[in-house]
Amino acid sequence: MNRNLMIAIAVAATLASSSSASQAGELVVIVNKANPTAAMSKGDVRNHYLKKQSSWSNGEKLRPVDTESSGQRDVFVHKLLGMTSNEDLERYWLELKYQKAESPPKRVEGDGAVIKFVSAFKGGIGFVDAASLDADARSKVQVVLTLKY
Amino acid sequence: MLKLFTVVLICMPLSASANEFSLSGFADVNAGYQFGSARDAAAQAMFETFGLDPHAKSSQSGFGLVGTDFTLTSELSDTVVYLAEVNLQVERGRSTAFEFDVERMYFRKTINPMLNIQAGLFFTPIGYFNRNLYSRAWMMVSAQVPDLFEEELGLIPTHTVGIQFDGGFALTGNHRLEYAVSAGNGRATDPVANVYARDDNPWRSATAMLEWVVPGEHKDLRFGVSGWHDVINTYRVAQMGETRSIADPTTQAIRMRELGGSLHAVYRGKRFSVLAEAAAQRHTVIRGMVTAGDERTTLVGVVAEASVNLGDDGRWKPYVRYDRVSLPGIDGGPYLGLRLDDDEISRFYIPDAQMAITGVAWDPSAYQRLKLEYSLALDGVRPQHAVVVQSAFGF
Repeated sequence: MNRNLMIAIAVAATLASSSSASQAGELVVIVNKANPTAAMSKGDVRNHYLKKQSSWSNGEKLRPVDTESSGQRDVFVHKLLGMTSNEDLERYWLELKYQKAESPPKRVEGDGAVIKFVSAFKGGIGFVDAASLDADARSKVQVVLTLKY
Repeated sequence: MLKLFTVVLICMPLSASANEFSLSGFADVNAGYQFGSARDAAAQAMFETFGLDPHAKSSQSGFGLVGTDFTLTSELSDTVVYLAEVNLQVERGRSTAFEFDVERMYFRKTINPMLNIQAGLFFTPIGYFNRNLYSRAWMMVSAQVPDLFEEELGLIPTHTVGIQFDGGFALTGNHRLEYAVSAGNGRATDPVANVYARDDNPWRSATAMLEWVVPGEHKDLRFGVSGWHDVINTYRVAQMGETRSIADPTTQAIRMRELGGSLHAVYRGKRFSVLAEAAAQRHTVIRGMVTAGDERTTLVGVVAEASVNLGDDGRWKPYVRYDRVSLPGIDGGPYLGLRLDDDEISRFYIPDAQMAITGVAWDPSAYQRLKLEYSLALDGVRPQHAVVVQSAFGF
């Protein structure tokens, strides 16, 4: 009896884990290929994306890019930037404009537009679904942080 | 008002140009009721006789338009930004007139994370509140500007016309050490005026601020220390209520040294936020004769505020705050009560203040903050009890 129960639990756990694995996403933070930064921690991403420091270490202008609302954006805003809500982020950008004359990020639609933006600007930084990075995109941008969710 | 519309109209066509240009701002509307007698009857009597304004600063009575602030930013290049901030606010000491006030106006050059330069008119890099919140009701959790940072009182130098260098250095574990140093024209003949140009006082003010930033999962924890120094050329007005002409050769010029220091600790987190600042400032007369006891005077001020974030996304913020300002002597000393009007300089009574404040703020959206606040005056000339409702906007 106990053995059957254990098998049932193991099967259920396996199914549950395979199911969640198939639904899991992988978000990547990307920067321009010419950016000398090879890898970033969550704290680094926060400091750069939120313009807590005034520029990249080489003096290049920080150019974060944002996207329209999506589940992927929610993960980025909450888990990486540490904001409690999208409104929290909106308020942050407006406060930063008053405090440091810094502009909020450009907002574009879709991963393709994010990749295009980051590849166009040396100081670009954005986030996309890992699956959207094909060989062509990887020749123009580099992944500095991967986040599974 | 005409000047403001002219500025806006001139700038509007620029929005279609290639450089990044934006206009944003904030405003607030208040309704308040105050009751009870002042805690310090003697101070109240002095204030009624020698006070600058029939109302103490930030007192609440009826409906009030504190003002509307317009902030213009323009990215002139990848590394240079221009900021101009003007304010339409109720005229100082008046209830039926508005005035046009320049808050900030500077160019800022970004070189690298360790060094940025800005020149023009900016907030003096002292503490946290003055640099980041100032009188921005929309950004403040509580409703009232602490007397310590009230521009219209000029107790400490809130604005500088000059140059600032600032930046940050990365430490281990994403900790950062941030700094700002500035040099400027410094204090004018009276404490609420800014020397925008033609500074006849060869002494330049100097300010330095150092801040240790501890990174957090949500927001940051900051510990900072600031110091400032200035040499002020002004005039001796011996008694409260006295007015003298600065053109009168018998009016005695005096020179004093201002030396100030402040400490701050600020945490803005997911569950709660804390802001605590303390400042002390000493004026020492170094040339000229003043009334006995006025040769060396000290101001002390404290602001402490704590709030918790409740409800959906932390939109509800119950808070408590404590303010205290102890002015030198019985009347504010030989400088802080001076006001210059054309060539006449007068000395007014600036009272101490001590307040316990509690309230709740609610953010219906990212661009609006509503507050209900009760304040109890523990000292000073304000009526003992005050209730204010505030609707503050950012846009």
